[in-house]
Amino acid sequence: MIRRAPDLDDLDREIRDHIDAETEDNIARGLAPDEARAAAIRKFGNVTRVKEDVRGVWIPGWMDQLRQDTRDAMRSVRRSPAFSFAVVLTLTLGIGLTTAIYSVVNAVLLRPLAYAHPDRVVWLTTQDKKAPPRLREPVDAVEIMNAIDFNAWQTQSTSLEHMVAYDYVDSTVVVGGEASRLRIVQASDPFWTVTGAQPLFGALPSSSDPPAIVLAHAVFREQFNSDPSIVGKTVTVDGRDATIAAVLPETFQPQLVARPFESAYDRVDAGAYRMMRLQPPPSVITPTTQVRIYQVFGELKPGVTLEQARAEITAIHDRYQREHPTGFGTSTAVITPLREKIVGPSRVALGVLLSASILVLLIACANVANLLLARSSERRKEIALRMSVGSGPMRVIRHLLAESLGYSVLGGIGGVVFASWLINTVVTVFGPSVPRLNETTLDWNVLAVAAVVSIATALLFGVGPAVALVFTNVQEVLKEGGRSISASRRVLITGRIMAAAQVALTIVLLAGAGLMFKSVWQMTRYPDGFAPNQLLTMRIDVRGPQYREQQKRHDFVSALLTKAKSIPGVRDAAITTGRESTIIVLKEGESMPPREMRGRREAPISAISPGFGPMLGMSLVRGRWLNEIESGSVVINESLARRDYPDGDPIGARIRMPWLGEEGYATIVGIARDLKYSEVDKDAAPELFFHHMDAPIFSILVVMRTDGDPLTAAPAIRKELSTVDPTQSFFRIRTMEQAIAESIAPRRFNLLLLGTFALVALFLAVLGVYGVVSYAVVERTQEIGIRLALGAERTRVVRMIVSQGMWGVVVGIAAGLVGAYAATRLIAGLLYGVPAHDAPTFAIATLMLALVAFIACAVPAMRAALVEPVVALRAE
Amino acid sequence: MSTRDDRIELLQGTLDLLILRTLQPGPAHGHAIAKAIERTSADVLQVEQGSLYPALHRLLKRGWIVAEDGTSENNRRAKFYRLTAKGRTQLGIETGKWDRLTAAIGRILHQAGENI
Repeated sequence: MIRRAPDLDDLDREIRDHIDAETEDNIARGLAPDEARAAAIRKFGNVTRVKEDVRGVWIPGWMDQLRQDTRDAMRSVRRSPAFSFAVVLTLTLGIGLTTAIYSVVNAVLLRPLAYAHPDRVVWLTTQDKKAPPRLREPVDAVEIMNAIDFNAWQTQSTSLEHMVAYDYVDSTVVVGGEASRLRIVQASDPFWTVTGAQPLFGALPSSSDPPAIVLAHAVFREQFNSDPSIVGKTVTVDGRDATIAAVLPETFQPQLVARPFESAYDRVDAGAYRMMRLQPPPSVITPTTQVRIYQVFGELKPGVTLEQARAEITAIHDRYQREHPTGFGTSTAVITPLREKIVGPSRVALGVLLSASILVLLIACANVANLLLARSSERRKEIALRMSVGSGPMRVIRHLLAESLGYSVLGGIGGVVFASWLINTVVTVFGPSVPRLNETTLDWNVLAVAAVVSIATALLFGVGPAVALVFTNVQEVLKEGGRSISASRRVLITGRIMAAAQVALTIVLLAGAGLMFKSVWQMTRYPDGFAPNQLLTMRIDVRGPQYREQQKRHDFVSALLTKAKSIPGVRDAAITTGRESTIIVLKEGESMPPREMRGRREAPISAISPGFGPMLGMSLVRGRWLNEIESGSVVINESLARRDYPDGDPIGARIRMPWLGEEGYATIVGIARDLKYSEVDKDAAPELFFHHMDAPIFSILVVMRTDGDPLTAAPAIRKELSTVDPTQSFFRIRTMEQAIAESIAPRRFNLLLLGTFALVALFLAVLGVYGVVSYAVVERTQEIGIRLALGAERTRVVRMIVSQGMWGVVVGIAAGLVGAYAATRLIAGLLYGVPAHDAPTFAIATLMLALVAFIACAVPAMRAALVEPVVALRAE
Repeated sequence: MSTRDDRIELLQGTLDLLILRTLQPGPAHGHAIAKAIERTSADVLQVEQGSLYPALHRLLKRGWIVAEDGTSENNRRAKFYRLTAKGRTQLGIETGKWDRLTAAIGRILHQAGENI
């Protein structure tokens, strides 16, 4: 039974009363008052000690000892600051890095989606049955869900509680005469239910209500100054009126899958939502029937497993296709957890990062173990001395335990600080470009795991050797002057193995980081004449009822281009649609190939103004660029020429322009050199360039070469361009270099993190090697002294120490290279333009590590060589 | 573990037993207990009165006695210690042990004396 300590405050009063009573007794016995009190106090004894003893009854002994041990530990930490700093720093780096990375991975990958029932939300789509399962071309793996399938599934399925169709469009919203661009998600009715949305202001509309939009919180805050009175106001969306029905809270951030063809990292960053009424699909379907395509997710009924739902949906889909052959060919129903769909693409990269951080944690642990081992051996004498003067073995072990714990606690605190800083930095630098990264917060669970692993290491290696020592013969240790040959050799061997292991793990990280670095370098190595940092780009979607006709859009674009060229400070301007759409390249006389062949004949088209190619520094292989006014001509790039005209000269050949119908053809007038001005992380791909007046245009990129810094000039230029039509909004205003950097942001993100790991690992490994060699030098001071006294040359001593240290390093490097060879294969998918077993990268990683390891060996070796023989010999 | 601990343990047992015995007739406050021990042992036991208090708290912790507020003979508020049922049982056990121990030691000493 545990009794709570009573209030000890009245102990003072009790003691005072006791002494008073005793004094009175003494006075009654005839003593003078002064004497009586003195006698009473004498008889009572030491009041302070009594009080302490009483308190001691209630306070368990271990607490008291803990206080003392802590004091001892702090004293030890202060006594050898360099050693303590090394241990604490290692723990800080290991714990901090692992925690930060795991926190990031957790935010991006592992945290449940923001839906009402995240576990039951599934991604629904269909896949072309003929698509080879692992083909690289995305076009064959496209997942499409059309209104017909949607309707069939929705009416027949019993395993799905809800099905939601959505799509999104970048709309121009005009509020009080000012236009801005907003990405609007339009979704069918159960959207609010499945996402679990609750409005902050207003009421969420349904598809049967009059046109209404619901604002995301960020837009509400930034564009409407968080003014709740905007609810109920009317705005113009792409030329049509709509009411602002509600505002969503900041927590409402459902992760929506981007459309096919958009990058896996593209976010559907919705600025607003509106409801979409699903039209019943056409009853008669022919190959020319226009059918809407949606993105679809659903919610499983409670208790229904994914397998049951998959079996049911597959059955429904297959039966429906049999009964209603469309001529589109057959497809397979796909149902996967939504999270799988979203997380899938970044899984490999983040898995690699997580593994890397675990490697760093291991290296850190090895380092701590190494440092503590070396030290425990140095302290054999101290421990033996403590025991010989009467410290019990438990007392000694407790002392060492407290010391190790001291390091661990400091390292843990450092780890938290470092992790917070690292998370902050990563979010600041990459927050805008990596999905869900902004949600990152310090993960305390992982911090706990990392801390436990490293603290366990510290305890094991801080106390373990001492335990062994405590139970050996104390006299022996003292007699041999604190140096037991066998024990120190054991420590040295363990230390060397640890250092070699660190080196091996570091090589793996260095090689991985090196490959990543080379990938990013390959991507951003621009050819001569391509100076993306000097080009300002702005995107504009031509929207609104006034631009429904193609000709009106062309007129607007021409006006815009003329205006751009006339702005002072703009040296040259061009436009392109970017590779927004794709055609199947058909030569004159060719008919449409069968469906499974089409992927190989596709190529993106860009509608450009004639100055676009020269402005980017794209040179011609042959032929000419498009003229200022020209129709029916096309310039192709080298890749396309190679693919489709391997034998002949493409100049003069004709290519079908599908938007002009069966008989529309364009003549090839020029071949441009391949230039990767977007998607720099992909190989050069075939491309066709049409005159912008000669192809359909919806969305364009205005590219301008400016005097001076493009970004400084941007606001004025934007203002000028807005005068052409104030209802149109410009967005993504940046230099082309920024656009390129953003397109490969996930890779740069991987590189930064992996690079950090590699550097930390390198640092720790060097520390490990240095520690072991230094320890060896200290252990052998006497021996070195003898050698020097007997006439050994100092250079020889240096060579001996260094070669012994480097031997372990070489073994570590050899093992590490084998490991790296196996490990880098796993990251092959993350690399670009560099093979997973790139020999130069491996060589540089090896050389780099060998060089710093050599320095780490040489420094203590030099110190050893400078030993004065007499001093060394006298050192016991 | 150290010698100081050993001494305390020896003292502790004895003093604890004496306190329990003193409280057998009825509750008493700290000074009264000290006086009673001195008086009944005819001042043979020279104990620092202060050491009474850690002993009292040990007994409190074990639940052999309880502390209650009361009024002393000279009308002052004082803390009175009272034997619990558990304490009473313990007093019986401890007294029995003490008797056996002293009897055994006495027999040994007596025998030793004869041999000399």
